Amino acid sequence: MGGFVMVAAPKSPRGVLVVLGILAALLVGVYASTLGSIAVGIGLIAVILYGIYIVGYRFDDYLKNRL
Amino acid sequence: MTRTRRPFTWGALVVVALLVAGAITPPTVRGQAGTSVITVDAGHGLTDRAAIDRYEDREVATTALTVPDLRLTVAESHDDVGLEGYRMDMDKRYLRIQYNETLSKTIRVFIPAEYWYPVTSEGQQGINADVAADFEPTTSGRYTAVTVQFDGQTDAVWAIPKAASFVFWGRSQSRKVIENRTGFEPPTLGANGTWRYVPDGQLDGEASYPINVTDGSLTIQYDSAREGPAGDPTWLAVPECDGGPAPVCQYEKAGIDDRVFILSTTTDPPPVRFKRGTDLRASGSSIINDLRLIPDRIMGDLSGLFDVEWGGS
Repeated sequence: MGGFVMVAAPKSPRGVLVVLGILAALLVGVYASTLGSIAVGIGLIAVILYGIYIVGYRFDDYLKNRL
Repeated sequence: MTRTRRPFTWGALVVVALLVAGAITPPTVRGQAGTSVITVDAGHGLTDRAAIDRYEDREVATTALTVPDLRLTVAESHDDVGLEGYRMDMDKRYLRIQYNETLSKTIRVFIPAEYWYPVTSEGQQGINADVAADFEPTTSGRYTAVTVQFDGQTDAVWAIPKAASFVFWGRSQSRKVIENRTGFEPPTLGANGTWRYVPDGQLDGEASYPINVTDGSLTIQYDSAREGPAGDPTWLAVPECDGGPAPVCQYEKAGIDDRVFILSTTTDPPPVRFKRGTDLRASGSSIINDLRLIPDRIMGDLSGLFDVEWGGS
């Protein structure tokens, strides 16, 4: 049977970040012109998303526990 | 029932994502197509011994060229390069380039080390004109290669701080001492040597141009200024020929190990430059330029898609 792959929408912010990261990495892979650019681009995306995760985690912690 | 705490909420994610999106939006750069480089190099009067002697006597030396039509002046006083008003000259040397043509040209000249010790500086703005110059030591360390993009008749002066010249001299001497004492050659960010350029017309009409590879590695780049809104030359690495959209690409021929070929995939190829060795600084800039151009490429594809879909309205 020809298959439709059912992909579940991300249910957590962390899942959203992962999906965004994958999409951004795909765009870099398609539109960057050299392997060096692709490697650096994906590295930057990983660092930025990790930064968002850390900052978001602390911001959320602040909202829930200290405000 | 206890509820496990999720790492963070959707609201926090949206706030942080908006902040980051604002922070990483690429800056807008002035736009202008790149031009090929006219390499005057050492073929001018300031490299003559007589001009250097005159500079040591009078602290000013000048020479004129007819093709391209320009005048070069090196001086220790701002009066000698046409700058008015009061200026502290004791910590500077001045380079004046009077470009007397109306055509846009990028010109490279070599200034001998007798005037100032070769320095590196990218995009240094002129004191009296809105024109930038790149300064770079040549392979031999005998000259500073000065590359300037002129948009028409221009009279521009740049100041070369003596302190910068002294720092570069000190760094060079330190390298020599380390090499002589230990035999270890400290790594450098930039490959030694100046850029060479594929001559005008050699890549026209989807032609290829051979580059000799004598010592193993080359840094090859093309000016992608016409691709996006970029203004100053936007140098990108020339990719391998694998069917990509780049206007030029590089390939090797089986059985020919000492040459790399540059192939133009368009009838209007961009300027291409190359130098021996791996220039880490230039490669890093190329990667940053390439990543900055990605949003423009995506928007270009999207607008092309909508043009087709909606009949080019």
